Amino acid sequence: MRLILSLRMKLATALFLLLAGASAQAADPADHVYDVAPSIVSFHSNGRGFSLVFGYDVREKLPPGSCTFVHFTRDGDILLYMGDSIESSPENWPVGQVIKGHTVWNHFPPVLADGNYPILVGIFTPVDGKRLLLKGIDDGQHRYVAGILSVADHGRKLSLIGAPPIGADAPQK
Amino acid sequence: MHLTSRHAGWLIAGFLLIANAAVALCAPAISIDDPVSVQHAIDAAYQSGQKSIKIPPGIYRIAPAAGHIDHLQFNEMHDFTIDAIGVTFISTLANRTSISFKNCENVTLRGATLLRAKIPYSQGTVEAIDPARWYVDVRVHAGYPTDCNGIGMLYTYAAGSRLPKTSVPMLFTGRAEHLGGDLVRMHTAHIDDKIPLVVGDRMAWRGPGAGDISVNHCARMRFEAVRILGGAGFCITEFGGDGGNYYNYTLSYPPKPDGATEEPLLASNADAFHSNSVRTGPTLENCLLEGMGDDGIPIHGWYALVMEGQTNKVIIDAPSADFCRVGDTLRVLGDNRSITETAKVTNIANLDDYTVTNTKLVDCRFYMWQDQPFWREITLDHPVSVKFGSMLGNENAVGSGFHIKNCTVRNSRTRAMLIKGSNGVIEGNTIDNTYAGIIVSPEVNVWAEADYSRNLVIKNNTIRATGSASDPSSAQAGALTIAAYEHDHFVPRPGGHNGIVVTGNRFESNDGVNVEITSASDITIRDNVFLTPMPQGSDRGSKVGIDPSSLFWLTECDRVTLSGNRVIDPGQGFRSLITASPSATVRGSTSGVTLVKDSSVH
Repeated sequence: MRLILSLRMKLATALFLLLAGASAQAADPADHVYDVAPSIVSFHSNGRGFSLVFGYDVREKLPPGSCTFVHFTRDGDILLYMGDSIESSPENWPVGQVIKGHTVWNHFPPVLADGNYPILVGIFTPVDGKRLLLKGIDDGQHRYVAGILSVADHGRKLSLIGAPPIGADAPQK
Repeated sequence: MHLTSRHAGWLIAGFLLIANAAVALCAPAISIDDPVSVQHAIDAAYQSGQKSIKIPPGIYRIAPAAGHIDHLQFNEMHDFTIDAIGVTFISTLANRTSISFKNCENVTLRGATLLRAKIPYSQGTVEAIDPARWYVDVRVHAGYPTDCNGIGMLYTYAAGSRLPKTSVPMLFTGRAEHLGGDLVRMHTAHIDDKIPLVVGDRMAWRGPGAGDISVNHCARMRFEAVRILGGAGFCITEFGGDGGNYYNYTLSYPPKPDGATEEPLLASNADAFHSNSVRTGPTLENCLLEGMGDDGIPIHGWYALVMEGQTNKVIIDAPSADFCRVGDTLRVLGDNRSITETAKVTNIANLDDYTVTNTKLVDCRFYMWQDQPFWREITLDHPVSVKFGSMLGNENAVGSGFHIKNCTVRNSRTRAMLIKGSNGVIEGNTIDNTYAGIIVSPEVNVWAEADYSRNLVIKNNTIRATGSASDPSSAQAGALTIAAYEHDHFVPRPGGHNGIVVTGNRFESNDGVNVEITSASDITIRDNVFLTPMPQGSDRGSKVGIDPSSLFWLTECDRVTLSGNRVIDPGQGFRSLITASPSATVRGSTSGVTLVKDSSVH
């Protein structure tokens, strides 16, 4: 089993990677709002397993040295620091395109209760820890609601609700 | 003529003889051309009441019989011997176990050699290294698989050698990018500049696979003179059951695949042996285990996760359906993951409709990835202090009573022995050129593997040439480690290890700390020889507070006694005999380890 799970370990390692966004501080409210909108562009579930593709609709150049982050949350607490598998750095994202990551596979743990788990994303600059202001639904800490994972039936039924997706692949309801 | 009981006995015996002969005549023939004939022949022999079957020597390509999952599959078999001396089984399906035994007792498998039709892993030669050291380009060797997606670890070997390359740790890779033909770019975590990886080195990596021999909920099984050449998963794994199984086998490299010119670098995808949650631990005797892709001999149980607790009733997420039985003793791990108390199980109730109310995660990945939770309400013989996140180990199902004797474990970038059971003996073994020698440690955070060990004897072993690979983050840094590291710190006293004697062992040319002890009490280290230790400088454990230039390193331990240990001709990595923190109480710290300059005194 450990061999089989080792595949999961790799995937979950990305899920566990403690992005520096963990310690990022809220941005100055006077900061510029970038015309960049994050979202989840694809969602699929199979039992406790689910897959996501994150995307950013880029309509403005982003500053150098910035990084993305993903927080899987409940009641305001960060439960997991997830990866978004977007290979290129935000400063290199071409304007006018939707930048997508690779598919990120996850597993909803049975030890968590049914309910809603917001998936919050954003961009920060590691140098000063500030989060950039983006387009979208701000949770008050300049994290943006990419979607809300809704869990029912003792963790066996997963769906994505909340923020509308960008791109062609609509989430399952 | 009266039919006496004696006459009746003869008649019955004669009848049985004829009947058995008839069965033998009618038994399915074993054919090398029929991939399920071995299964059918063994089944027929067993069902006819025979106590054994001899498979004619030969090479058999095997496949699962109709309705079976595994290549050879035996359930509920008792008191039977499969004599396969001179027999080679070639498993034709990559993702199926070669031979499985489930709920069997007193079954012997003798003399079989196991191979896979397709080599279950791959390898190649390094052609380029990213100047920024984030990837390696590898040319896959002719004859080896090029479908290397989903790989996780890269093992490095110097050109012309099958030995793991000195100072190069396992490298982790998340993506294999095909560059055309047989050239693959392995995207890795950053490769430190100090790691001496060079063009021309060779690398091997895991492929998909399944176990080779599975021993599931069995007792008193025997495996004699078995050989596994090219293991696809856990080479032999035992899980659950009363145990008391005996193993005498070899894990080694398979033949070159068709079209190959290079010899295989790996002997298996994963552990050479693996014991999980067995009630009486295994005996491994005269085994040769080499080249494995993961640990050599791990023996452990599992921790159950406490969801909630009140007085003497505790609701747990158990790791398996039969985690414990009434009468078992459970050990409670508290917040700092020391053992805080024990209690006996007086009742177990299934809670299939349990509704989780918890919204916090636990620092244990096993319970993050669990597919099937097993909700149980455990009643204990007295109230215990637990809450969500506490862990319960089952003292009765951790492989205690194990015996590892006269085995050789060698040539792997992994841990030779990883012990979590109690009441065991490790004696007369040779460990050579592995990542680490003997590790005695619970490991909660990843696989929820239990438990602390008590009453071990580790004697007359040779541990040689371990610790050469760079690994500053390792908390298991010793050639011999008796420790516990959880929540990013060494578990404070009292920890949980107790009553371990280490005597008469020979430590040869091991780099970094040779003996690491934490989270333990009543440990005796006596009359061991440390020959030419620490031939080179080491960084192992330096990021977790370990001094890799100290031969002994101790913290958070009580009543450690050192006596009669000799250190001969230490190398350039050596700076001090003992480093003990204020939280370590050590007797014999000045007299119990003696530096001997005269190299003739061996």
